[in-house]
Amino acid sequence: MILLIYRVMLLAILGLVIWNLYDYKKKTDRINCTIVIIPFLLRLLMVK
Amino acid sequence: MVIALVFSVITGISFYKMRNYDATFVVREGIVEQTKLSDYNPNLEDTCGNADIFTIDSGKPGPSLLIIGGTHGNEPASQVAATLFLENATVSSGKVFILTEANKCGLNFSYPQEGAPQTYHIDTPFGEREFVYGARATNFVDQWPVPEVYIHRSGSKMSGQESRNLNRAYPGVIDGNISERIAYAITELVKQNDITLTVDLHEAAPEYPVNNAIVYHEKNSDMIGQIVFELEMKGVVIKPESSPKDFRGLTHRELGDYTDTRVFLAETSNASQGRIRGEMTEELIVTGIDKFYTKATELGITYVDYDESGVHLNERVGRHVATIMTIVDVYNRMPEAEGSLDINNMPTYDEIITNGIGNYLLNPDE
Repeated sequence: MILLIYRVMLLAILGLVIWNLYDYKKKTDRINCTIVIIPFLLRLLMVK
Repeated sequence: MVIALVFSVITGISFYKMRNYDATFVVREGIVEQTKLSDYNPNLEDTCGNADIFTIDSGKPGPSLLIIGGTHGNEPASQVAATLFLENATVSSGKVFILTEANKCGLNFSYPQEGAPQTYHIDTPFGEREFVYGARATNFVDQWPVPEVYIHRSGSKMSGQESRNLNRAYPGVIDGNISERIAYAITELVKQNDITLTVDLHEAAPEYPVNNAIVYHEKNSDMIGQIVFELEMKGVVIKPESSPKDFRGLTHRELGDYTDTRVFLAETSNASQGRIRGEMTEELIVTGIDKFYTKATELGITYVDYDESGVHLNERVGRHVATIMTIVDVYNRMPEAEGSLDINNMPTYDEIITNGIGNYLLNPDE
């Protein structure tokens, strides 16, 4: 159950970061978002 | 988003391979029996903590020994020394239990931001043999959340990160977190088989005081002097350290308190897990050569001397093998010993240093 909550939280944060990725205008902010997405995505898939 | 996905796939494949690694141990048919930790705690079934237990049984009554290797995935001498017993030892009286990967959940990932290689290689006559280099603690992915404060079942409070440390989880909890479940299974393994001797193998950073040492539970006070003396006669200088009574959750405290086994914990010096080290490479893991530790030794801030030749894995594994064999020899001469535990075919400390550990590892492809 706790794992499910964890993954729901990850999904929510990942969703917000992806939202920001498309919201930001500056290229550097977009690159920043891209870098942040990678570990969240890997954790969501229980890889790392 | 496409760039993030591409990088996630590339890194994900690498991490996924490590997470699902398949250790290549050679199990000699007719000599070694294989069981699982879940036989002692069913709550480990279908988890990363369900490690193999290897048993070499002489069929003759006598004392028994448990070798615990791989408690911490970033302490390679522990895993390799246990593997040497698995792949070489024969037992003519008594019984030997071997855990080469006590905490598999610490061997399926490495710490972020440490730059640690996922594997290291040992030269053998048949080519290179690969071993996984993991982390000290249970994988975050398998044990979450990490509490702010870890409260051991004794009531002792520790840093929250220690909740993921198998060697702070003994005697374990049958349905606790995954580290506690593994510790419970190992405690039950000792209890149900009435194991006489337990040796838990570790390594420590050179700046850590308990180094090239043997930690013993107070009920082994009658053996420790002789063990240290005999090891020194073999060229292995080792410091005896009594297990602190208030330092809870460790094998040398809890297995000594909760079971009848005589428990020891052995430490060697590993530069690759230290904080002063330079570049983290496979070479550092195996050779222990690091110019920063050489400098640190000159400044007098290490507990083990490091010169330009480092402290090679051969020496660290040799120390562990010699320590185990000496403990067994000394126990066999104790008045309480019923019969003797006779382990044969193991190389000596000098032979391991001269010939290298690779000469005593078997070829997984044969």
